[in-house]
Amino acid sequence: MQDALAAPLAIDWLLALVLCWLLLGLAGMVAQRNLRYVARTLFPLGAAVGLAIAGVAFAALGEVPETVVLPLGLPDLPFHLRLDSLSALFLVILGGIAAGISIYAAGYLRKGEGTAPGLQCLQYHIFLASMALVLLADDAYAFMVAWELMALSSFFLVTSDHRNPEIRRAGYLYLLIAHIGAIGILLSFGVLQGGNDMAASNGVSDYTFAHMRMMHPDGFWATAAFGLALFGFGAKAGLVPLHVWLPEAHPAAPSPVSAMMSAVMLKTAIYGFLRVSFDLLQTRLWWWGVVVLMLGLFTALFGVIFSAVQTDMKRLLAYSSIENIGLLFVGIGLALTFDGFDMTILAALALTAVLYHCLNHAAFKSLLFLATGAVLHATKERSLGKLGGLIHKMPWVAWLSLLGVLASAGLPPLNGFVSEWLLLQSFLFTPGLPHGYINMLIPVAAAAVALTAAIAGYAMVKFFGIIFLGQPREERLAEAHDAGLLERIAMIWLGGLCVALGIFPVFVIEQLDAVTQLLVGTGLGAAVRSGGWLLLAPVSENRASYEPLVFLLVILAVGAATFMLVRRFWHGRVRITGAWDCGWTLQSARMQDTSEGFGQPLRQVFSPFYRMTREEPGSFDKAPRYSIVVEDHFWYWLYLPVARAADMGTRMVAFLQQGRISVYLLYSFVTLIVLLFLIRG
Amino acid sequence: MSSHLLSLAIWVPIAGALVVLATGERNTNLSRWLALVTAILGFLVTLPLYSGFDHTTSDMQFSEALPWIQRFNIGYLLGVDGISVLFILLNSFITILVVIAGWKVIEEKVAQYMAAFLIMSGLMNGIFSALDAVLFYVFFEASLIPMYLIIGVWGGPNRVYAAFKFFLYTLLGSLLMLVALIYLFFESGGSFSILEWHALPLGMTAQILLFLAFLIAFAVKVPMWPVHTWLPDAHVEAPTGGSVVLAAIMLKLGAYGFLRFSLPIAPDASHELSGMMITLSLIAVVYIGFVALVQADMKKLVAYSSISHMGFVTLGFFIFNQLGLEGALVQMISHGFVSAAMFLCIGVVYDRMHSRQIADYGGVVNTMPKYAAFFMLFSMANAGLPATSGFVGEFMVVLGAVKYNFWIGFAAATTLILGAAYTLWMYKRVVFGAVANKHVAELTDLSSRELLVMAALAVCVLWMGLYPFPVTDVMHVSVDHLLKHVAASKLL
Repeated sequence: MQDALAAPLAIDWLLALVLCWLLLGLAGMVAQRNLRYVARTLFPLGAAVGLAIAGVAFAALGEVPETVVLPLGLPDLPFHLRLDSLSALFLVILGGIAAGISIYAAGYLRKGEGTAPGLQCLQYHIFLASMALVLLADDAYAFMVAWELMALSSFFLVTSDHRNPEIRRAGYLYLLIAHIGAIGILLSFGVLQGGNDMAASNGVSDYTFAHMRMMHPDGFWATAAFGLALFGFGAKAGLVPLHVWLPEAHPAAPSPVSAMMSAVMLKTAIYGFLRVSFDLLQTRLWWWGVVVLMLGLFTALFGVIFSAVQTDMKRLLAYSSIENIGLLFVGIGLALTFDGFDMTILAALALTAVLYHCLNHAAFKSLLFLATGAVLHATKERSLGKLGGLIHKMPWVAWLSLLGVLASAGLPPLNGFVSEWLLLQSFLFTPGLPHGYINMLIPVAAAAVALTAAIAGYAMVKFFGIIFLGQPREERLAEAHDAGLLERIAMIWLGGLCVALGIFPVFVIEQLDAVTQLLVGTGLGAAVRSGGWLLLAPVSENRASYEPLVFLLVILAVGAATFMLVRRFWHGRVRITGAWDCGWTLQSARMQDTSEGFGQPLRQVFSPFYRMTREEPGSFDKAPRYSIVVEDHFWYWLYLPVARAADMGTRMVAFLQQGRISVYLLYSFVTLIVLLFLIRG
Repeated sequence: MSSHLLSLAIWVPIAGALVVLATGERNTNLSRWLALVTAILGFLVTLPLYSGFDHTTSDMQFSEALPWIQRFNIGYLLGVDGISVLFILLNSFITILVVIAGWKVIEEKVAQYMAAFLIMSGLMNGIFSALDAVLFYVFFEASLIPMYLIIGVWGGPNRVYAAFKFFLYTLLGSLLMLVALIYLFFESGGSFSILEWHALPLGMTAQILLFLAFLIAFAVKVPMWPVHTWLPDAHVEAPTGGSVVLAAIMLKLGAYGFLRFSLPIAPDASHELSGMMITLSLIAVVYIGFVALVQADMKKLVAYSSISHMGFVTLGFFIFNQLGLEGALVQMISHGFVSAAMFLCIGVVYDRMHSRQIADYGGVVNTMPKYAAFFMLFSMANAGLPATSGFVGEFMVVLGAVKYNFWIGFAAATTLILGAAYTLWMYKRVVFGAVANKHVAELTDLSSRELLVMAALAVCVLWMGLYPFPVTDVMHVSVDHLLKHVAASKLL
């Protein structure tokens, strides 16, 4: 500590900044209902703290890990904190995205919407601080405290409008699944600390991560720890079938919170999974990778086909987050497989794709969620069927969300493309795996990833087209207004991140190098640097490469040329005529494709995946109505049976619980007899 | 060291109670104030026990020894170690809250009500500090009487049945303990000193029989499954203050008995039977968790949740490691605060609406925002969510269980979900949502008296959740000593 006082380490700065977040939160309680003070002062300060955290963490990438011990926690197990490249990268994501979202929230908060602004300010900043502590924690207790605090604070944010029964239900479901997942993680740490021999105990200090790194569990216990971690972190990330809370909780939360949860909180689960599987576990088996890959693939496909048929804009984005989480797990699975066969450079490639996609998804998904917030405030409407044509009323929001939509659809030159391209690149190397079936089967998975990317594009076209293009579907959309200045600034910041991450991949990959060095011992830094900052050739120059700037220039040139040509040769020669109408002079909002209609082909193709209830009008209906409800099979196959079993269990127990003394004395007597019998034996 | 702090802790409340009784029923306000002053005085005399406590030794401290019935070598032996001192503090603290909580609610026989609680407080301090088995037994049995009266006189409509059931169960249990005490008296060559018994070598059969005799006495008190059924009835019928003391302190007596008698006197039997104890504890946690889930009565729900939490405590005892045992003790203290707070919370709305049915409520947050905030904190603590005391204890017990055997830890951890499920579900139904009916609409928020009690408990819950060192530090050496003692065989 003496040294720390002499020259503060990066981790000390980070802790001080996290403390600032907490203090800002508390400051919100001073004048809970003073919107000017809470929104216009505290939230922008929070954004500044976020930027500072991102800056300090960025500087710490690739530096020697720093540790610090706080005098809080259990006896013999005070809070251990550690800053290494992996946590630094995720802190950059947290700080950078939080900066944007806090600025947005400064403009977004209104009076009379659920919880008082000051209280929301407290919950929001505790949420941010707890995520930072999750990333810094270096022992099981500190990690679990931060992890549960994160779940709890976000639960309060989700239920800020608790008068709505659906939101209450969503919040309860969210907290319950978060709790179940947390127990999985806790047990995983329990296995990790003991290795093979649980009883060989040195006391509580076994629960530090440093101790876990020294353990070499055998295959069975390593698999147990890995499986529990996959379950626990998968529940938080929204891995199918543990995803059910996600499409409920994200739409229920206020938009900045949805953005925060989707962009950053889901990434803390990815962080935790990487931390356990690549850092804490010293034994790794290659087939884990295949399991993770398959789960990820299924999640990605599942998420995207549900995303495409949603009729609520926030649910659409929530399912799209499930898809992206699936892609991240696909990448982690590939990395684990490569690593299991000691193909470390390829493992580094897959991991780079994962980490890059974490950055990208954080940027574009927060942008899109913030856009839905702006639309929600302008129109009071979340249902796609009642929006439309907003690009005229809300040009800023529309054009900025176009950036997010393009990035999310994985189109160059935006950031989503780079990471998906890297992911597909790593698939191309799977034939090199020294295992007959695997190197045949995994390339098939690449096709599924490509399909996912294609449907993601479809879903994003639907999102943008239905909300912003065409004609307004409701009269009152005419009163919609564009986002305020602070909201615009926030969206420009996030949109700018999408562009920058797309244009400068070489720079980004050089930074990610430090993280992959830490996790698998090698990185792509040297390889991409040799190609110069313009050309991205992750493995070698004679394999695939990508030049984003050239791409951008070509796209711009083609776009400009088309525009010029159309104006030059086509305009002026347009004939306007009323000849046969053909439906074109009278074009009403009702003639546009609806959001249900847009999803119809997918519903047809993937019908086994959906649980659909249709209500179709008969021939003689005076007021014909058509409705379709698309639900998740998992809810009916997995969750309801569990709930019913619990219900039945409690009923049976209630039967035993008669409430008569004589019956109980009988129970006690029988138990005693049984116990005495057991002791004899 | 000659000090009379422990005697003061026992007799100040009892003497005060006698004064309160003497004021009679004419001046109820005087009785209330006298009771409050006594309770505060009783708490103040226990504070030096903490501040003067030597953390570095596991020996008994603040010892007092006076001859009592010399013919049977029975003495007035008092002393505390790092395990028992905390419960004396907890008990004296909770007594203050109980007196304040009963201020306005109790309108009949005020002096007797207050006196009953003060006497009980003194007797329970006696249980925690007695080092002579007969003295312990006397205090243990005597503490039943005030509780019996509290339930039977100030309780709900079915109070006589509940009081009778409570008395019957606990008395039957402790009779076997008396047999065990007499056996030990002869076996040790005529001594009732508990510390001497700790060092007494015993054969396996004798140990097992002793263990079972103590088990029945203490299991009823804890209560462990399957002898728990008196508790929900007692809680439902007891007045709020009675429920608070019952849950916060009385349940701890049984658990404390395990640590003072069963484990150190019969260590080999404890190991031999630990599988059974762990099984019973886990059954309690799971089975009772399910029972709690279906309760429609708030008080019953919290009563069942107490049983489930005490299951964690006994689980922590019988996995024989530092983490588990300290976790169990933290859980006991924490449960003292949390269950007290939960019963007080229910009492607050019961006093206004005279219903404990969850279905009669809904949307309480709209009319009682301050109440909702406190209730939320205590519900979270009951569910074992972080930053509250409930988290620390459960976390330590689960980690300890994992160290003992992964699958036991696994089973214990999965049951944590049940705790979260029933508590938060109740909270959701009672507090959240739109105002359910006109009675809820007429509710008034916490009075300053209620606010004071809630705030005091909230500080304790948060303080233990964020910074448990002051508690764990005191018990550390004693727990270590106990574990070493239990690990060594005492077979003849």
